[in-house]
Amino acid sequence: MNTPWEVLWPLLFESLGQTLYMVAITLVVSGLAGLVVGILLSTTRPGGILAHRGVNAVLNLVVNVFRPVPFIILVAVLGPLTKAVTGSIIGTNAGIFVMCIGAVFSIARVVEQNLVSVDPGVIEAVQAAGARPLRIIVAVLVPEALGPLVLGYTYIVIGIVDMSAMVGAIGGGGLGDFALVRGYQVFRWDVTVVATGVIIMLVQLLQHLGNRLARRVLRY
Amino acid sequence: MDTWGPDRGARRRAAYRPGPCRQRPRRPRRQKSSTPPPSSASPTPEIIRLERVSKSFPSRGGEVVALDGVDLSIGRGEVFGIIGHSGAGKSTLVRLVNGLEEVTSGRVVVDGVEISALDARALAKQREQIGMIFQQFNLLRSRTVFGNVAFPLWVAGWPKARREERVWEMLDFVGLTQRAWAYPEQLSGGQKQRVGIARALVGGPQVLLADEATSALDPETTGDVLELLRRTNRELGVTIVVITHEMDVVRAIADRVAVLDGGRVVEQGTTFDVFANPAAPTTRAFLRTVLRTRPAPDQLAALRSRGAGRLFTVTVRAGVDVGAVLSDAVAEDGVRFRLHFGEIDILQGQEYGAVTVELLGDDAAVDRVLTRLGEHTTVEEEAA
Ligand SMILES: Nc1ncnc2c1ncn2[C@@H]1O[C@H](COP(=O)(O)OP(=O)(O)O)[C@@H](O)[C@H]1O
Ligand SMILES: [Mg+2]
Repeated sequence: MNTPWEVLWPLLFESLGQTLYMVAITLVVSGLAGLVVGILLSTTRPGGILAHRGVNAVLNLVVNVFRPVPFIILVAVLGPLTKAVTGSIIGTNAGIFVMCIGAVFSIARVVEQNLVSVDPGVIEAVQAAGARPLRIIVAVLVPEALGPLVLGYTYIVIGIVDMSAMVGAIGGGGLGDFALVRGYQVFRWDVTVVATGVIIMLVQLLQHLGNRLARRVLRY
Repeated sequence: MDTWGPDRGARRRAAYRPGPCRQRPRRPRRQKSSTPPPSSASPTPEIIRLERVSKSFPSRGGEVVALDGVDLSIGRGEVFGIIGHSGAGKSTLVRLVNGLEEVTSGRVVVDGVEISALDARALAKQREQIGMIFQQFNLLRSRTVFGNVAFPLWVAGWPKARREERVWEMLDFVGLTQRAWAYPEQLSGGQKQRVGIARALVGGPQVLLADEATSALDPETTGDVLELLRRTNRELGVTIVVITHEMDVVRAIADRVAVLDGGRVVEQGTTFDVFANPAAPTTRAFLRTVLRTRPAPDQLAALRSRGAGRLFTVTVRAGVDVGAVLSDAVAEDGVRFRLHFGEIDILQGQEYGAVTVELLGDDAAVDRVLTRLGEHTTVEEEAA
C-alpha cells in the first residue's frame, strides 16, 4: 500500500492552516475574556483593590464548575449553546466556540495566580501616589506580572493546540482531524506519524516563542 | 538629556551613629514624672492633627486594637519622629494619615482636610499632597527610575512636557540623573530609596510620610538617606513624619518625637526633652539602645573591686558644669576623682548624658562635694 503523498501534502498544509486559525482565534478571544475574569478574580478577593465577597464567590463558583469538565464532554454539553451562537453544532466555528469556553476558565486562573503574586507593597505605593483601581490594574498589576503572564499564556496555548486536535471529532478540521482520518482510520501509520510530528514542532515553536518573549519582558 | 548636572556626590555625612544594641536592667531613676505635653504645644501652625484616633482590626479571636485614642499634632515644616517597637501601631498610624487605612473612631485632619471623611475620588486627589516612602522601597519593577518617578504625575494628569521637566528636576534633587534609565533591580538599596523619595516628592506634596524608610539600609546609607530627608525638609519645606524603631534615626533627624507603645502615645516632646528627661519606661528602654550612661552591674562590680572610693553617677545637663564642680572639689576639699564611665551627647544644640565618677577622700569632704553637685544636677550613689 503506497501512501499517496502527492495528495496528502496539500491536505496536510490545509490542516495546519486550520489549526493555526482555530488556535489564534481562541487565544485572542479567550485570552482577553480570561484576562478580564482573572483580573476580577484577583482584585475582588478580600483585601484586593476591588474587594467584593459576592462577586468573588460567584466567579469562583463558575470557574470551579467549568474548569474540571473534560473537553470532549464540554463539546457535547455545550451543543445547544454552540448552535445558538454559531448556527451549527459542527464545523470550525463551532469548534472555536467550544475551545474558547474550554480555555477561558483556565486562563482566568492563570491570570489570577500571577496577579495575586504582585507585591502588595507596590500596590500600596501607587495607591499612596493617588492611583485609582482601573489605573492600578492597567498600569501596575498587569505590567508587573507580565513575565509570568506570558509564560502562563504559553502554557495555555499548548493546551489550546491540544483541544484543537479534538475538535476534529465535530468536523472542525485541523491537524488532529488529519492524523485520525487520513492516517489512523485507514491504517497509514506513516501519515499519523508525520501529522504528529508537525503538531510537536508547532508546540515546540510556540513554547520557544513564549520563552523568548517572557525573557525579554523579565529583562534576563 | 545630559544637560542635567552630574550626580551630586558631595553629600554631607549625616550625624548618624549606630548605637550599641544592648539592654540593661532598668534602674529606678525618675527626675520628672511629666505627662505628655498637650497637643497645642506644637511650635508652628499645625498641618496634621489626630483627635482621639482609634483603629482596630477584626481578627479570629475578636479584634486587635492597633491604635487606642491617639492625639497628635504635627506642625507645618517639622520633622516629627514616631518611635515604637514592632507592633506598636506605627504603620497603622501613618497609613491613617493618607487614608490607606480608615479610622475606627476619631478624626484625622491634614492641611485642614478631614481625611477620614473623604470619598475614594477625593481621597486619591488628596494623596497627591501626601508623599510616602517605605522600608522595602516598593518601586515598580516594570518601569525605569524615570518611569517610577513620573508615575504620580502621570496619574495626576500632568502634560508630558511639564512632567518630564519635573522628573528631571527631582532626579537632580536626589542625585540620580545618571541612573534615569536603569531598572530598580540594577540599583543599590540607598539608590532605590532615593528613587522612592523622588517619586514621593515629585508632585510637590506638603507632607512626606516615611515608614521605616532606613530600616533596610546599612548604617552609612542610612546616614545618606537621612541627610536627603533633612534637605527635603530644609530646602523644600516639606513636613516629614518619620516612623522608626531606631532611636538613632530620631536623634539624627527629628525636631519632636512621640513614643508609641501598645497603640498609645506614652510620651511626646522635643527630641532633646525626651532624650534628656525620658519619663515613660518604654522611652528609657529605647534610650538604653543608644546611650551608654550607666555601667552594667558586672562593669560596676569590676570598678568597685578595683577602686577605693565611692561611685556616683552624675547627670549632665545643659548649663551644668560638672567639670567645674569636680575641679573645685580637688582644689578646695582635697577630694580626688576618677572618671570611669559615661556618655555626653549634644542634641539640638544642648548637652545631655551622664558620667560615673569615683570620689576619693574623707567622707565629710566627699559629702560636701555631693551637696555641691546636688545643687546643680541629679547625683546617685552606685551602692554596693
Ligand atoms: N491589616 C491588618 N489586619 C489585622 N491586624 C493588623 C493589620 N495591620 C496591622 N495589624 C495589627 O495592628 C498592630 C499594629 O501593627 P502595625 O501598625 O503594623 O505596627 P508597627 O508598624 O508599629 O510594627 C499589630 O498588632 C498588627 O498585627
Ligand atoms: Mg510597621
